[in-house]
Amino acid sequence: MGSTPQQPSPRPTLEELLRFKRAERPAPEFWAEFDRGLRQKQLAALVKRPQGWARVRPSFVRSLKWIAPATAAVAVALVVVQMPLSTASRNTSVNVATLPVRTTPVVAATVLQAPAQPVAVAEVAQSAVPAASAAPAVVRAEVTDGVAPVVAVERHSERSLLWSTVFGAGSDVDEASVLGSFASLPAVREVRRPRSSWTSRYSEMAQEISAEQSTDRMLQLASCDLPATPEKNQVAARADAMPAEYVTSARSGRSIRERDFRDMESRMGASSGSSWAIRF
Amino acid sequence: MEFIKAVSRIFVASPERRVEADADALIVAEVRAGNVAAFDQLVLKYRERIYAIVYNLTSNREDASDLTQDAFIKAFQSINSYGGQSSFFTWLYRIAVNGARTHLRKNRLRTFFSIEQASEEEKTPEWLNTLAVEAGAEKEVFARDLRQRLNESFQKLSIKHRTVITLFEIDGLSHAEIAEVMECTEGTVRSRLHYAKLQLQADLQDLLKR
Repeated sequence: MGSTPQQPSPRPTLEELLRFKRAERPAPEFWAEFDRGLRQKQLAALVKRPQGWARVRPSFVRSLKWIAPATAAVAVALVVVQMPLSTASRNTSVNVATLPVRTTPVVAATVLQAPAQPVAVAEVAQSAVPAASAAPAVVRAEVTDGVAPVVAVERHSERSLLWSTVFGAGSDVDEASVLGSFASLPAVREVRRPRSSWTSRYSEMAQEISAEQSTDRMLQLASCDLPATPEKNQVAARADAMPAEYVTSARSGRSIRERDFRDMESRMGASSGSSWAIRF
Repeated sequence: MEFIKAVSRIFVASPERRVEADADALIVAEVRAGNVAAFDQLVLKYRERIYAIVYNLTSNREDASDLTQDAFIKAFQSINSYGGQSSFFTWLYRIAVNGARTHLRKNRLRTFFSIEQASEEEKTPEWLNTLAVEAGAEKEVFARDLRQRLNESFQKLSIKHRTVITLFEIDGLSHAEIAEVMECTEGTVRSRLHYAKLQLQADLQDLLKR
């Protein structure tokens, strides 16, 4: 009763099983059907008009080839055009002066809003030619009804953009002292940044308020683009009556509400006797 | 980066592949020039390989047929956008594999197998006879069941693992070529291949040599 040793049954490896699977092939008839179906689909694809985005996409992709360079060219052109303007703005300096004023403070306002109270009108001299000198030209203003004289200081930037500063002074301020004050003024470099909102504009203005204390106060208004006609450059300076709603520069759309002035004043911590300048 | 990839492909590709790629490039140029019939040469050349891949991914002959046709139509429609950065067969494989993977994702819950017949040229392996005898079944019946079993095991793999093992074991692509088709690194391909084999071994344990 001898038992023969049992041979281990041959079993496949994984690779052999995968090779077995690889042998699965469709019958030759399958390919005839396959080719017929493919031909039909191919013809349908040739005839069928693409719909929706597929229809627009080729022309869109083609148009991208010139849209991108054109956009870049326009952007470069805008930058080139804008650069001299911003350079001019940066190069313009405005002097801030503190003048001894004993009378009521002067606030800039438009001529149209000039109230019944005595108003000093300053006519800002015009110049079509860029000023060669960096020194401010001080123009004695016309005095109405013996009220406080208003002196206008104009500066020309390189691009003939007019910078005007109007300030009010007490009636007892003589011309010599005014001119002397300006003569000793240091040039303040104006940095103009784009203002995106009231908040940024306000903070910028608040930074520019000089904290120097003086017995009187003065408002300087500098406008970078006053209209070119001399008559429109008349800026009325009112003494005690802050306009009810606005103090408006000659430039449209640049107005400051009174409460903003008050708020700035409170921030400065001095309701009177302070010197502050506002630039637009 | 593209340049480095192109150069590395030149060195990675075998001479046969390079000759094949050059021939394909000529046909593609003809099709682009307006000779639509030239595309048939590409169909004849690649249809079986593409079909085999898609079939092993889907385990369904009807789906595989449709997806293979769709892959060729898509290649035909967008042949002008084929930039030649990769060889044509890699590009075509990518279209087919992506189409199949999209189909599988959409029909995740559908499991319907239809099995192909074994090629008549293939010699029946000895182990198949033994296993059939062990199972007490006829050889053809057992072979059919075995194919069904293999398809089920393939479907248990994730789509990525299934794609890698199909491209490597069924179509015989190299790691580099699979990486190019699947747009991943060769390391990823090796890793996926390793785990796919482990999973298949675990699933087919009762059949395999111990």
